Amino acid sequence: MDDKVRPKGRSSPLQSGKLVGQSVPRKEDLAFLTGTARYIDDLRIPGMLYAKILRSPMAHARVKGIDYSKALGMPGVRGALCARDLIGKVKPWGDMMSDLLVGNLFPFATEKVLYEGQEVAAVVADTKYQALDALDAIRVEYEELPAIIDPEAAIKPDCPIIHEGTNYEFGDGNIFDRYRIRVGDIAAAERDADVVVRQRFTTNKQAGAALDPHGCIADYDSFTGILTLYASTQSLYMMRDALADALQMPRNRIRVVAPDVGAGFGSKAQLLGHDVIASVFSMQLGKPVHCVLGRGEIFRAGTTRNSQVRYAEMFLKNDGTIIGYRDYIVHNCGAVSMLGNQVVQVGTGVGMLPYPIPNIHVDADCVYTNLAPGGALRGFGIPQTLWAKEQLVDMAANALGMDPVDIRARNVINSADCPFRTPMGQIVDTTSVSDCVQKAASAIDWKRLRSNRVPFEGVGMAVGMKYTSARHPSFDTDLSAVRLRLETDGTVTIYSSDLNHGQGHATFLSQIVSDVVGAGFEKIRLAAPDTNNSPFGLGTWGSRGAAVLGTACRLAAERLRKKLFQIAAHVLDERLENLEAGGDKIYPRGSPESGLWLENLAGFCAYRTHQLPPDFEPSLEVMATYDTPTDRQAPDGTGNLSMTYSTSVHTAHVRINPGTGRVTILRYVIASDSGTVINPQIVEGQHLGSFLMGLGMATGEDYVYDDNGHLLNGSFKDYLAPLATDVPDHIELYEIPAPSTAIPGGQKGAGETATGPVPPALGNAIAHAIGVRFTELPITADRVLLALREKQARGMEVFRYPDDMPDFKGPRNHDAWPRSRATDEGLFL
Amino acid sequence: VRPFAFVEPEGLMATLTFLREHGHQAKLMAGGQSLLLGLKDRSVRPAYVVSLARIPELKVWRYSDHGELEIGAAVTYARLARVPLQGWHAEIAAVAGNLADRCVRNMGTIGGAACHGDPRFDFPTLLVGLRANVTIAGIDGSRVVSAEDFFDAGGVRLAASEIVTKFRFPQQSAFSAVAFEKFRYRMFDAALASVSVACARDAEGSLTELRVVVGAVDKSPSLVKGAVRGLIGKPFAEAYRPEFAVQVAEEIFGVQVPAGRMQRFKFELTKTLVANAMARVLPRLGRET
Repeated sequence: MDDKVRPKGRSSPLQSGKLVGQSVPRKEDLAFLTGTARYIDDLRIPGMLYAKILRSPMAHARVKGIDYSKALGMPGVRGALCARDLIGKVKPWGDMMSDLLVGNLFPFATEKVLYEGQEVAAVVADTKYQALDALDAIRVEYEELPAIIDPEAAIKPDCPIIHEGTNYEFGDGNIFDRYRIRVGDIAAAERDADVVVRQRFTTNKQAGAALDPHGCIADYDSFTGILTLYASTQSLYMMRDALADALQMPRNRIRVVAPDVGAGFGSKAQLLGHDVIASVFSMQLGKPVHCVLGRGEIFRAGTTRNSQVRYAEMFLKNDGTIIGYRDYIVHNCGAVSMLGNQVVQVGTGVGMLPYPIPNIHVDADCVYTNLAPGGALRGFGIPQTLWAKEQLVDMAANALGMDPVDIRARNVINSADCPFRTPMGQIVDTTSVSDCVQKAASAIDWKRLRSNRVPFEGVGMAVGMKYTSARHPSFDTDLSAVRLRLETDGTVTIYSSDLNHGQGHATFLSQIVSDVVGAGFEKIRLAAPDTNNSPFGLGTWGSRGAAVLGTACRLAAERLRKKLFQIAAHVLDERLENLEAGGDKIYPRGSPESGLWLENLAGFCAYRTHQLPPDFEPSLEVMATYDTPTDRQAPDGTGNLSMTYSTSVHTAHVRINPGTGRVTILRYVIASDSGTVINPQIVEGQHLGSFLMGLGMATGEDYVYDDNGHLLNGSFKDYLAPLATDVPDHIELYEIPAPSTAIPGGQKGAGETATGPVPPALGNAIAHAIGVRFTELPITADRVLLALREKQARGMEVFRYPDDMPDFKGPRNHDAWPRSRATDEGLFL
Repeated sequence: VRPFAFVEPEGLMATLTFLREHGHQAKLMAGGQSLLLGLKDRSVRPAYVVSLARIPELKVWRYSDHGELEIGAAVTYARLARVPLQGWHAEIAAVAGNLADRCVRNMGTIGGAACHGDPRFDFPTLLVGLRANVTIAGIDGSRVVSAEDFFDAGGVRLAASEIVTKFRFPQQSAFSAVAFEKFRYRMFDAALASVSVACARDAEGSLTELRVVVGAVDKSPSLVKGAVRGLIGKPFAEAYRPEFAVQVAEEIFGVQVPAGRMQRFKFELTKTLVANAMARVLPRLGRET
């Protein structure tokens, strides 16, 4: 069961019967490895013009005037735009995805700029250099306002309002939305607890940092009135519908096409200003308009992980049973929320797993500040929750004198109890979390590392579960679709709008289709994603690829097989139940040498329709959708938002250099439950990529701002994302599959599960190594060294960084903690 | 990138002649590793980019008749890293082979690093630390300045009409042992702090020179003057105390603990790096037997 997930050599996938479960080499890789893949900035359309965007150099300012008249006279310049040109013509968007009354996104800053890098004006020219030169000629008059960068200052009643003149359903001031969980009786839990651990935690602002930049080419055909948008996106239809809404155009006149997409991580799930700007220019001029962002622009205007301040408390009995969790979260969404409020809702609720905590009380204030927009990013709120919760578990273990593994083993959901309904309302269909905890501990040699202490070395554990797709609070759907066509030569084409940005769709969908329909793997092709021919689906995010799209694909393949069996049964005069598919044939059971080739069956359907059964619809093009039958979130925050939940248990063995503060990961173990694994090599890649993103969050990545809201590290030179040389030498992956019973096919999401446990696993290991409990991210060498020096100087046994540093400004102890101003009045709890 | 004219003068004199006229609007390009970043983000906007590719004498290294090591300004890090230098000179090759990434080392040059004047780069610290001097060519002839004088508060003392042609490190006998230490977050990052230690002793084992330079913590490499004084003229192994590292850090940063996380970190790092560098030179400073 618990074999290491390693590609099983180069065994030919065609030798054995079934492909699902095999590390079939990825179809995508040839193009990527040979440099022939085409990303958005590789596309060239004849007559294409180039748009460039002037962005605000200030974080918060009134725009008193914009003059682009000089730019319009410059060589090659064809046009210019700013807010006044589009007000009343372009509709603000973002309301649907963020569940707001009115959209909060617009192509340009209107009266005020709200963050450094916000769009202020744009020009379009024959070349990108002419466009850049013209930007220099635009004059903007600003009246700078104080930048509000601290979310806890932003929620003070007397703080100036960032989004002026906006009313919110649940918020006030700079709080634009609120979220609550009310489960059980938290007061009783506090009363009954033998041990209470509490700590203020903060998390960092991590970049989307996809290597392939955000960008698009808009190509309006003024003869047909059709606008084609080539975009580096995670979601064709959310892009199309938002663009159509913004431009008030019929949706069948907008076509969105995705080229190869070099990752998104959640940052390409929505329409951004540059998409609308390029579209408007193209419609004005009747020419294709290219607008691909530079790295500095992406850092400032792409989305980031929402940073949080959490006032977290955990209540336990003497035997280690967790009986309560309370948290007040100040959730910093930056200047514009891009799904930001959804992040805290889904991430906090699901983040309670794998412990079925009976009493939970959470208040979250979703707040605007003058920082870069925050929103979806790999892990979607779960990493922030785990950073607090999984460290509280270790603090509780210390307080109780328990081993951190034992306290987790006591509290996790047992597989024997599945399907298990948690007090949060999640229905865990199957899980191997208990086995994963034991495996992660034994593989790293936990007991020895805990008992034989080596100075400056430590070991830590963290546990996380991740939803597999989700019915987000903001929209009541969780839908993907696949259309399959058996072509007249026996090949198969797959159409899907949920596109690949690293997950290997062409490979894993082909594996499913091959197994069900019997077509050879190499004869199956995934068509390029294009709203002209791809069926409607939500897109690739939320760990939904394998489970939701994969299920739609399986259902479509089964429909196709049924039709093939009907024709074959008629022609061969066989019973339907007696037919099998395989080797590019449909044949009577046990006689693969006989039967009919798929090519023949397709030929009957297209060119020899008299061979078909009576009343048979002559088409071998079928479609299936899968919309997970999940719950909507209840007002108390509960609900089963996902059909199944994947698991990732991490253990880290670290060494700290006492002279430099550098943390070296000596060994790292990840034990996972991803359900039925379609392609072990792809899943291994997803786990490693997830881990790496968690490593960046834990050890280096953060937006560093000055007091005026200027980003100081907006380039890969200065932004401390892990390099290849920062990946630990020894990472071990174990897969302990508990196949989902809720998802046909048994698979669970694998793309994000391994991100969240990394920061707390390292935090716990560092606390074990040097007695310093990090409550702030990232854990950089400078923080480690200064904490160590301060701890040594004051002779403290346990030290919290930064809480126990002399210059710490936040509340040090529970008595000084702030409380949420929200009341439960008017809520139907 | 803003439009510019790319010129490739043939030989040193032609380049200097061009610079006499256009120097103030021109940027010299050797390996281009710093310049191209500035050009790409349009923060550097020269009218001319002058290639140094056609000046062969910039690309050679040699030992002078007196045993000094001369390195042409356009020698790349990668080339220098492969040079089989002897004795403490080998530390120069080691530093060249352990900075940035392979692509930068393949293109980047010692002269480029020095003229860019970024104190976080390793070579400014190393040049000052090893008492190197800098040969600068102008249309009217050459001048030689010490590296210490060349680096000036974040910039370099170089006229727009001049070209750095070579660096000269002292002969083997100048120092008994040399060590360079640095800290960077990631393998390819510039240093957060760097320390060069070079020392010389007489036949008795007494210290005749101790040259400690701390880099990346100020706008230019900082030469330590006070802390070393007490050790000169004494047998090093006996006179050296671990407090030396603290004294160095306090001399550079002041006795007060510096304000701000990064400054305090650099203060602590300096202590560690000085101690590490001293630990490397100490075994080579015992009494000669």
